Amino acid sequence: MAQIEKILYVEDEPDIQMIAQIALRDIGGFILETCSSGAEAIEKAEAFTPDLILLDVMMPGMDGPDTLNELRKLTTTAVTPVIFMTAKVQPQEVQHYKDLGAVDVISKPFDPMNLANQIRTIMSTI
Amino acid sequence: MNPFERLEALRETYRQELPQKLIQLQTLFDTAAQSGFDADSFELFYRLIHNLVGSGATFGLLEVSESARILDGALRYFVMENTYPTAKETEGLRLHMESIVLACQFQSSDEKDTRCLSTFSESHFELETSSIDTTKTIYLIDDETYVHEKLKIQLEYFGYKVTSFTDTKSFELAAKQCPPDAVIMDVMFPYSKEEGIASIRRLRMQLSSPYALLFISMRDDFETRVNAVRVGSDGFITKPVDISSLIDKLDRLTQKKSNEPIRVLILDDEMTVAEYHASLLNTGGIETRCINDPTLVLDAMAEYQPDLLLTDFYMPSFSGLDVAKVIRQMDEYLTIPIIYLSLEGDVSIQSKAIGAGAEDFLLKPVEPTELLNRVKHKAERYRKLRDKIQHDSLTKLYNHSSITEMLEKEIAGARRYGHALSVAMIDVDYFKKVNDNYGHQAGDAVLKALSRLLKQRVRSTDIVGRYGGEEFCIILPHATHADGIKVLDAIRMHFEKLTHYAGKNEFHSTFSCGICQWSKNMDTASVINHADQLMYQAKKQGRNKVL
Repeated sequence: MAQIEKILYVEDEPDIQMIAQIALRDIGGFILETCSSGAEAIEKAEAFTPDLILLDVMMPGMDGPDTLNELRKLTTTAVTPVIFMTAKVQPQEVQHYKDLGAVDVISKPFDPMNLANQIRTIMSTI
Repeated sequence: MNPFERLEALRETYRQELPQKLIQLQTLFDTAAQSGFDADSFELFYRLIHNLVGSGATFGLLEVSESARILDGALRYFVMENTYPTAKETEGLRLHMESIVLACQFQSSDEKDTRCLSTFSESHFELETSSIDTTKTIYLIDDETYVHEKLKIQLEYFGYKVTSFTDTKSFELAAKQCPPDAVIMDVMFPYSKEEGIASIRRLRMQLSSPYALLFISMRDDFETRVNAVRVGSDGFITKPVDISSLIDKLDRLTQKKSNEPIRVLILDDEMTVAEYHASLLNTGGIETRCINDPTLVLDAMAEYQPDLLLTDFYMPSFSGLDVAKVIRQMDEYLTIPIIYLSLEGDVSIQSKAIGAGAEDFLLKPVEPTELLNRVKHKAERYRKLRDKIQHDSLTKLYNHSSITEMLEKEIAGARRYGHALSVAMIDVDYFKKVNDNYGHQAGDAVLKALSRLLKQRVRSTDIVGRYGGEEFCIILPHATHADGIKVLDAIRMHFEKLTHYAGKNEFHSTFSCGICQWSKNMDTASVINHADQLMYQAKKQGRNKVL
């Protein structure tokens, strides 16, 4: 199982950011770096060297898939696991996101009490 | 603050800030709509609505999230088609935006909605809201825009998510990428008189996931209907489409059947024997509760509400025969199936036992499959009978006696546990005129539409019944008068916008409503009377009102 300590969390909506911070840092115990855009994620990724990237799909400017493409060009995040987060998805859409390079998709709304466990469960299968 | 408290604080902040955010969204929409949408403004609006779907639900505002989801679906269509809404479509989107604002107003910070993710202490999220599943997606394909506008808006008032297409090619593409739960397809298109049927035939070869299929058409000849059936249609409705009939069919085809397991109460003085039979029934998906004291059977029946009683025949203090006779003297248990389990092989004793009101006599040791089959068959039959007895045949709501009985139970519960309880009485306005002007069939359709709207829009803990001809009663546990006003006023506004059809005629209907919040000195009759009085006052004040 891949050991996860540091998570780069990319989400443009401030309200969801705050919930996720509580869910991942306070409840989940992860070291967290939050970004509000794909561009900010690319800027911070090299210095932060995350073990996992949680990436919102729909963002202004560079969306989730585009951000993933750019992150893959960086040495430090070329093979870092990525989980997309998006509003309720159909199974076909999950496969589409996996084909883009994500290890899985977590649908919104997420349970803040259970998000950390969900992530650990996903990562235990890798 | 610990994490729970911080989450609650965040939630409260979100709720307080949401009305202002929605005003900003509305302003953004109005500005963009006035000047004509461009790529940037449309993309921004779509993203903000999409965010609202997720954040609304995350912060426990399920109504807001679901209303936003409907608009999100509509906007996604334009994004997929790389087009912008026309003036008429923009008006439709505006109505969706207003629904979100209404949903926000309905969900105050005091709401103790059991659906809400209000405590963040749930380990999983269930987004089940009303008793009717409103997450079904429908693809509507018709080349005539006026059909889209009318049908789409009406279907969405009943909670369905509708994506519309004017040509079969776009529909087929969308269906392959994102299969719907139901398809409503016109038969005739400008380029072919049966293009709708041909399109489904093509899609069947490429898409295996099941969906409900309804055809709509001006044509009503036998050959067209047969061709529709041959591609697997579940229904054929001639235009102009009667929305009540369409909703009825969609509900039947898309709603999940109730999965509530059968419940059996087992009485045997030897608990190990009771538990053995319980485990046999459990393997068949039947829920059980065991008691070993006959004196506890009435309390257990009242609390557990079983579909069948399985009882030992010979017990030290009271026999199974005694138990059956006592139960049969109680009106509420007149029809509940009773099965004896015994070593008694004497046929005359068995006959006497059945004569006391039991259904069956099984000899111990009972063969597991036989026990399971007999219990299942009798319990299922009892359930169907009970449903028929309890429910009104037209509206499928609880009938007068059932809803009154339920109110008695709810009052007892409120008295015991001290929670709020309100009762709403609704009466359709000018109903006699509807019947006189449009016929009784149209009147029935209005009642069915209102019933459906009530079931779809109230909380899953609320109880809806048909009290009289055009009068309805809604029991709202854990709701104050103010809570009741919010729920019913929102429903009133939706009902007012529904279009009803009688042949070529279209009309609208409204209702008046009175709500009474129960207090300790009130019994069932006084609560209903008070709500009734307020309802009549609403009529005197001009009707189409909730007091």
